[in-house]
Amino acid sequence: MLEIDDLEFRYEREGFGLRVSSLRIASGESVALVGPSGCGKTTLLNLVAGIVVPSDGNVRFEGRELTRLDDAGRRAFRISSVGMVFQEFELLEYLNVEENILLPFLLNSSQRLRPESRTAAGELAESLGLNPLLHRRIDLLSHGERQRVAIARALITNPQLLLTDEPTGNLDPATRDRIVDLLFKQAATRQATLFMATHDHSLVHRFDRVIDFSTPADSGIELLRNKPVDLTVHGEKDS
Amino acid sequence: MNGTFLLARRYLWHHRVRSAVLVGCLTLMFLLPIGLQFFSTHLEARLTERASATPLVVGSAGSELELALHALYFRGQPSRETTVAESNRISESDLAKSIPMLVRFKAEGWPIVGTSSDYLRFRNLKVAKGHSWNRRGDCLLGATVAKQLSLDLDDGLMTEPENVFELDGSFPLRMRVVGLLAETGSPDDNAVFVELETAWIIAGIGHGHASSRKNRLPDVSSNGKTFGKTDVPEHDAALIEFTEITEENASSFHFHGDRNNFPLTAILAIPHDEESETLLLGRYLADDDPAQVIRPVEVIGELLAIVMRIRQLFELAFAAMAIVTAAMLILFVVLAVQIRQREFATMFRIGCGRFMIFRLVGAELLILFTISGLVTVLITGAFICVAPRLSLLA
Repeated sequence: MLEIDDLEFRYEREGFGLRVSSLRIASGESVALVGPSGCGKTTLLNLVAGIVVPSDGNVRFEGRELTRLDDAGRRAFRISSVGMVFQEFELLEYLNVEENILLPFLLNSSQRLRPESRTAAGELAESLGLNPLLHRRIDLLSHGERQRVAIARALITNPQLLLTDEPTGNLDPATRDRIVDLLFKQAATRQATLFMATHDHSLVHRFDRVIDFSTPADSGIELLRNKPVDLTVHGEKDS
Repeated sequence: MNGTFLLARRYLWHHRVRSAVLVGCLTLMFLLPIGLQFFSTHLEARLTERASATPLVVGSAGSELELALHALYFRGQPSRETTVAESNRISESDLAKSIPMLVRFKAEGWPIVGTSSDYLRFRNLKVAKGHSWNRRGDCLLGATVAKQLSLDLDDGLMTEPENVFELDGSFPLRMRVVGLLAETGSPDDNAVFVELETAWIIAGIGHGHASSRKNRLPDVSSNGKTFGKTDVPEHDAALIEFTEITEENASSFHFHGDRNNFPLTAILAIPHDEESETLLLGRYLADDDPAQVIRPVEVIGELLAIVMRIRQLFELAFAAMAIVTAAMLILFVVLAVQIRQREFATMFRIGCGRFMIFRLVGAELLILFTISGLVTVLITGAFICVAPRLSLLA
């Protein structure tokens, strides 16, 4: 369960702020964050992941209060419980596919890269159709292949929270649907809570809950299979 | 830690040209001062070793350094020569053993050292192959000379004329190689040794009457290679004229004039003891004495003092270069980190701490420094192996 109470975060320079009075997301739920670019979707993802620290309020995940964790604690939380897929994939060009998938292990000094990690990477790659590409350089991959590598990297630690930031941007509808199917399938397999920031309204019907950043909490879009959310967006962040 | 080094290795390999340039810069930064230090230390040791092993050198009055370099390393010529009389003066003083030397001629560019067998004993030169001189015209080759000229026993080696325009001068002498000296790592490896009388024959002071091969078809070239009879036209104006001492004509070789006046370029004086050395030094104190005695260790010491001062200047230059290289390296790292901001941001969002990013950059630098260090060690090692064979140090 993800619980957010009286959360407030401000970018002082940009004059942009975000306040979430109360938000409860059950494990395994899927949540779409919709709205135009720069409206705060990524900020909410960063708050949930513990990348940025709110100026006020609490974020709890499975009873663990993230706002009370220090920097190292939040990093450990991200490594162990969060998988992130970025809009531009952010794969490291100097690593091959397998090494990119294993990046969370490579970056975690407390965890040595074990043979079972490689086995897990191989299995994950197989499930995503990446097996023949494991030792291929990133710059030789197609757009879709890179996207799958980014998803595999997010899933390799078996996260309970899967945070995806515009993962279907710049994709044609067929590929977009394939990627979204894949994310839902992988999240369901792991009983992971799926957050997806997107400005593609055609996807929202697939999610258990939609948080629309372009309207206040009482906006009409909350009527769609969504549970009520008290969300206030102050100002607009430059895109 | 293994992940950090894997990432660092992969990054450096991906940017291998950039990494190679950095390794090259770092290697130069390490190598130049280390190389200079090694080179000067080695040079100092070699020069000092040779000088220390030679108690006194007697020669004509003039430059002490010229005389020391000539007698010890066969380099250059003293401005004036001395005579056998000077050598006899030392022997007759009963203060030191006298080893005469005439180092005026060359064969294939290598110095010919005319001396006595005492020189071989004094320098502890062993004949590795063949035997010592039996007769005039025989020569012993230093190890490097034998190797470089690919000469073996019974091969011929032609001396170079002192002056190619001196048409009425003595003919080159075709020497017979009778022995190859064992390698010593000293300047003796780079010389051809002949008996003093052979050197005087080369100088034209002694001559024979039977076997001058003037205007005869030579069977050897100046580089000692044998020609087939059909290879050389019989009446070639460029025919090489040379003298050769054979069993048949050896007895006909003789010298004219007073032997006391025969030239020497240097005399090694080996005093019997410290007191003899002091006494001998005292005998050359007169200002009008045409000869001088030097203690090579002192002369070389003065030379080394100059070398060391030059080395200090180089060290300053290298220190400045190291500072510039270090500054460039820091600039490079700062720029690289800025360029990699997005990559590091991704790592941070995945769960990597800032310390890990420092460690990653540190690992990359460590790898670069390690490779540079290894390359430096390899080059230095190779230089140490090759150094004894470099003529500069030998």
